[in-house]
Amino acid sequence: MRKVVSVLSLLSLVLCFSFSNAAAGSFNEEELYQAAKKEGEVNIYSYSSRVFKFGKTFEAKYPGIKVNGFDMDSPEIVTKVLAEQSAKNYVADVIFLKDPSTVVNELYNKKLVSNYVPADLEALIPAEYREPLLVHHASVDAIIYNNEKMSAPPIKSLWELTTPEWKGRVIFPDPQKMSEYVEVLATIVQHSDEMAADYKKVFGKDIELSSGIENAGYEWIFRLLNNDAIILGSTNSVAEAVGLSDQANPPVGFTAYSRLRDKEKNPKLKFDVMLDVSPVIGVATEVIIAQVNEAKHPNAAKLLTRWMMGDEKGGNGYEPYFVMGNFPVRTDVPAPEGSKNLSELKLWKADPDYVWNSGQQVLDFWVAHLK
Amino acid sequence: MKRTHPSFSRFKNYIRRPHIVISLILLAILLFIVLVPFARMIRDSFIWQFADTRLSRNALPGEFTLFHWKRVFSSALTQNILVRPLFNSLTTSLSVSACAMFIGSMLAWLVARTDIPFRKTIATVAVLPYVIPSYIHALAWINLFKNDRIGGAAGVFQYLTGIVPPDWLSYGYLPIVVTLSIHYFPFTFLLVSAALTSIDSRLEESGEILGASRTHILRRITFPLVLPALLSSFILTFSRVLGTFGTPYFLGTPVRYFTLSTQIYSNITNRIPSVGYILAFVLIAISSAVIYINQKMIGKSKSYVTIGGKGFRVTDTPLGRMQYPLLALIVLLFLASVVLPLVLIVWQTLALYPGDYSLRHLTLLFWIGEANTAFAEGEAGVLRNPAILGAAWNSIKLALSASALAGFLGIFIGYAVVKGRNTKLASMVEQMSFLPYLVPGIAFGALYLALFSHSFGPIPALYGTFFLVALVCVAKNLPFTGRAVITSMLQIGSELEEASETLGARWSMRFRKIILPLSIQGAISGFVLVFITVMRELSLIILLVTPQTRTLTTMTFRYQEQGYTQFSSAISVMIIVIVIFGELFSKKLGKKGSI
Amino acid sequence: MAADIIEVKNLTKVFGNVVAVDNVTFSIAEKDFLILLGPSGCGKTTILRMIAGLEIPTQGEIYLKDRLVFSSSKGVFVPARQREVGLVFQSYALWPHMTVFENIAFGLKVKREGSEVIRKKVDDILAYMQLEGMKDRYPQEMSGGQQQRVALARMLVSHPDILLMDEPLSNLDAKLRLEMRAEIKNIHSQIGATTVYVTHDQVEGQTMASNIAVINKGIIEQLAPPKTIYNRPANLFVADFIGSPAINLMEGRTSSEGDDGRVCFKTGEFTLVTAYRNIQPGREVVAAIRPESISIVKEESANTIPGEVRTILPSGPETVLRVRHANLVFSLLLTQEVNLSPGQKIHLYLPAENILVFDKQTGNLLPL
Repeated sequence: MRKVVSVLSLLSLVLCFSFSNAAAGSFNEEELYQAAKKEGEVNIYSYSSRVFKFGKTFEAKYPGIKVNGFDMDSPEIVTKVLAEQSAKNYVADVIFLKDPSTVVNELYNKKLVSNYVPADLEALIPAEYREPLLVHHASVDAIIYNNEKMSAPPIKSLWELTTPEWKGRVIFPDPQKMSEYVEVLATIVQHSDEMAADYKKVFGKDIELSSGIENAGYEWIFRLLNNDAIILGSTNSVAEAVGLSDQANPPVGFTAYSRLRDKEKNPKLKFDVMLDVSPVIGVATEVIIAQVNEAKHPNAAKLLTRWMMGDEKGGNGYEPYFVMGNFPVRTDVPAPEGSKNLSELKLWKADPDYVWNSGQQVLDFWVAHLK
Repeated sequence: MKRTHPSFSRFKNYIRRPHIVISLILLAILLFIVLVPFARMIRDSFIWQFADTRLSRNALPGEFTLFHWKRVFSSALTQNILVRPLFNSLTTSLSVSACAMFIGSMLAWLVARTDIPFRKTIATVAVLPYVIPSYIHALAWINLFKNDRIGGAAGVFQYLTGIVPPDWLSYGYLPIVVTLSIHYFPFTFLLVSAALTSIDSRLEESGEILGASRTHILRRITFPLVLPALLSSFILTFSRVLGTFGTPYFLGTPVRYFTLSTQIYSNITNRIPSVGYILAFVLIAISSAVIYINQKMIGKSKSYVTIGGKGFRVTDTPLGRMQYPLLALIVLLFLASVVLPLVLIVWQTLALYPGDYSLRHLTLLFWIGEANTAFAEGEAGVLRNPAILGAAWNSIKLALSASALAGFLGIFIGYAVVKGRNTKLASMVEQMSFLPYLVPGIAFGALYLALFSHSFGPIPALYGTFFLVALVCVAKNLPFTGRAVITSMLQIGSELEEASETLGARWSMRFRKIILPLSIQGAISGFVLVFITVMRELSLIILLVTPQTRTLTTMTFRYQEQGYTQFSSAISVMIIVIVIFGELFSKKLGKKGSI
Repeated sequence: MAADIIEVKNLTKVFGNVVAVDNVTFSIAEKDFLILLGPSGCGKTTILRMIAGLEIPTQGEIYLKDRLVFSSSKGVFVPARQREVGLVFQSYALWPHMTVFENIAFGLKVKREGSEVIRKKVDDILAYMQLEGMKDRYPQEMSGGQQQRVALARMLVSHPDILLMDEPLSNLDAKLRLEMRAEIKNIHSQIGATTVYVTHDQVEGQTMASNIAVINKGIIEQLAPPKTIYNRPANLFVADFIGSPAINLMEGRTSSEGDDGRVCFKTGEFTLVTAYRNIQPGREVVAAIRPESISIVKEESANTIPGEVRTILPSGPETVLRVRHANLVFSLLLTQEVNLSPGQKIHLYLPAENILVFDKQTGNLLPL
């Protein structure tokens, strides 16, 4: 609890500090609230169950508007919105999900969803996070290790995961199930030159590509799979598999950086993120908010969007995401305590265009080489 | 030999027979709920989808292509999305069907035909493993036999013995077969015990008089008589296991033991439905082959008309000294298949931290706790949580309406099929109503989503309505009720209806007074199966439910994925409780309506 | 023709590729008791079901009481419920979910008779069938004979003019069967309904029928009164099917050796004089004689055949004897005391007037 209080105080301090900047745009909160109140409720499809947290604080802040939060997988949200649009049975007002490339290509480009950036935030969010759809936060997928058994991060390079020492002891979340890991894999392939350079740095020689393999990025995936990697269906099971205490020989694994928050819920989890791995510690992906066309509660949706982005007037709509591993897009909000800023981490940022065009091929490669 | 007749009057005579009229109406219904989705599935496998633009630069959405078929049958992916999953699907399904058939029929025989103690109790308890969702068995297995392959805490077995369970014991083929056999043997049990109780034991006694040994009688007389029931339970189990998703997913994925069903699921949820459909065709082809072989076999042996309006006797075989050892075996089976998983799951709902079973960390928070942001992202305990209670109500509504409608249609299907036996029309009705059984749930759900999100023919866009979710459950479960009623109608024999016909009764009266009362038993057993199945249904409806129509299962799956074991377990407990109540209630109902 | 209550013309029924009933024509006069007799699967039940209206014929016409109820050419089909015939099934087809009373009352309720009337009629028929006190029982609580009576009562209570019975006694034990046979015959003579009765039991045929139609493979082999069927079977099938023990058959040729122009029957072993006069010699024939027509004589004479006793099967008043001659085994049915033992050599006497001669090719009985 003390931690939450300190986070809150820090947050409000930061928000107050940035007040002067935020006043630039014109955002008529009262007018939007009155319009939203007439609508009475708002339906949000969310990729994460934290929707219930900010939903509660929103309801407290704006009495008379009920938040119906629905928690489902990102591809499921896309499928549902497509079906609702085609059946003209509009349920979702606003969607909050991962996999921006699919959302942009399948929904935004077909004009089934639109972008909304609260006017007062335009100056506070870099353009790359405002267009084509508003980014709520960036999240990072990185490698975690058991810090009860291991005093320091056991590896220095991604390539070490492909060595015999880690055979059967590397966990990777299932990209067939979680789209963000398609983004991670595609991004590694996109940066294959850097992967090749890192290989040379680690092993002192040029990488020899296996037959039929295009580049060092694919080669890494290939070798990882050949090293008896374990594939799990969710990020929290990775955190558990790596982090539970009293393990004789714990594995390492890729998971969401923000899984660090699981340690609060379960004191038996002992793990940390490796922050010094070459060429990168992980990949940053984005979580976006989009307004659904023909929504029944458009104003409430906008008000909720604004609330989710955080508020300088002491509100805490962003609070559930103000945790280690999630990185705010607002320039006026610093990284949470103990965390670094996104720019300070050795990361690659997933490129939605590249992911849309090549992600499926990378996934095919993955599936074809599963053992 | 053939003279020409006035074709109109011939048509009039044809149409005059009630089962023909019923068959035609059924065909019209089945056309919309079964055949059109199936046709759509074929079509979509040959058409570029929008999402395919990611797969190939040549994709032209809406145009014809063989791309998806090539992708499945001759590409770099073939080995991993088709060949290995296919092999795994076949080996698990065959093994499970064989094991479940063995356990189920032995138990049915013991209960129906021997003097084993506590028969009534055993009969009630024997269906419980099916009541427990199969993934619960899978999770229980993991809790017991987990090794450190996927990291985390070891299972109870390793904790107690210090021996690290080998992978083949923890994951993959063996655990999938064991847990699914435990889950599916009640199928065989129900069907075979129904068949056994309707066999006149004089048939067996006559064998005994001829000096046949007990095992000989079992093998040569009883077994052939229940063979039709055995075969249909084999088919039901086989195709059910072939389409099962949860258990292979939980127990197979850690060692990359994929099956066709998990591949179909991942392709469809990853929005490559065409590939999912083609894999579904592979499944359908296998199931069809099995059914074809079965029909060949059944065609040779007659289907037995055993109840003929004359009384029959059932005599119990004394077990002698084997009585108590066998009872002990049954108790053991019951402990492993029901008590242990239930204890584990209830305990899980009480654990403050997932996986921490220590007594001082037990809590009722996840049942009755108020919304508290410190736990479970601020959700209230399941009994106070309006979203979960709403989903519970949805589940009950869905299971009741789907099973009632499927039971109702099942009676007509049974009648049309039995009455029109050996006619083309009747076999069309039978085959069409059986088709949904072969289509994996997730594929069927995806088809309904694709079809009914537009208005189509006389039908408006149904996506988002409760009716659509109910409809898909009815269609998918018709084979259950249809089969159940067909079985019971076959045993009734058509003479009972004919007797009333010669006495001048119109069809409506015959239906009300003779057919309905006599087949209601079969319809009710079908109804119960459907109720239980729909209560636990996940993959079929997951794409079709909207926030307003979501069910307990879709919620528990979500919580399970998110790692809120306590919530998912608590909801699973709710499901089990509702199903058990439903089962007991329908047992009462069945007694009232029974002969 | 007006007296014909049931008239069947050119009736044919095809199931798939199987011709179950093949162009059958017959008629039944009022108050007649016709038995359709034949081995199982011969099509007799199908004929009965077509008359009842439970099976739609492929071709032909059926008249019931001068009313056309089926015609393939005119496209007429009157369903069973409008034909007003009574039918008893082999399985009785009693409804297990109804009491005896409800079973019997069903047909009356269909006719919307008042409940008082129904009660009276059911009580009467129960009394008539000696089922008093059983009306609240369920069929499965009754013995086979009682169930049979209920099935009969259910049919009779509506007083149909035509009674159809499909092997009604085949599920009863011998004693009950004998009793019920008498009962059914009694009922028939009392109510005088035209009856068609299907059985494979030739004794039932002999004892109950006014006419018997012997059916084989979908056709009527012979339709005649029981005596004729027994004494002058139209062909070998009928001859062999009727009678127990079965008729004795011998293959051979005719010759003209007999006196007064009587034809002789010759095998390689023996020669028999017959009562026939109109068969040319040298024809291949089958001679037949009923077991009870053969007697045992001490000395060899005309129409005797030597033989050796194989088995003796005494059964109360009768004894069945099996006697071997060369590769032939004769059955004898003797009513007098038999003082023989197996292995004993005897002579069989086959009276000329009891010998039937059939054409070997066609199997038909040859004219005298």
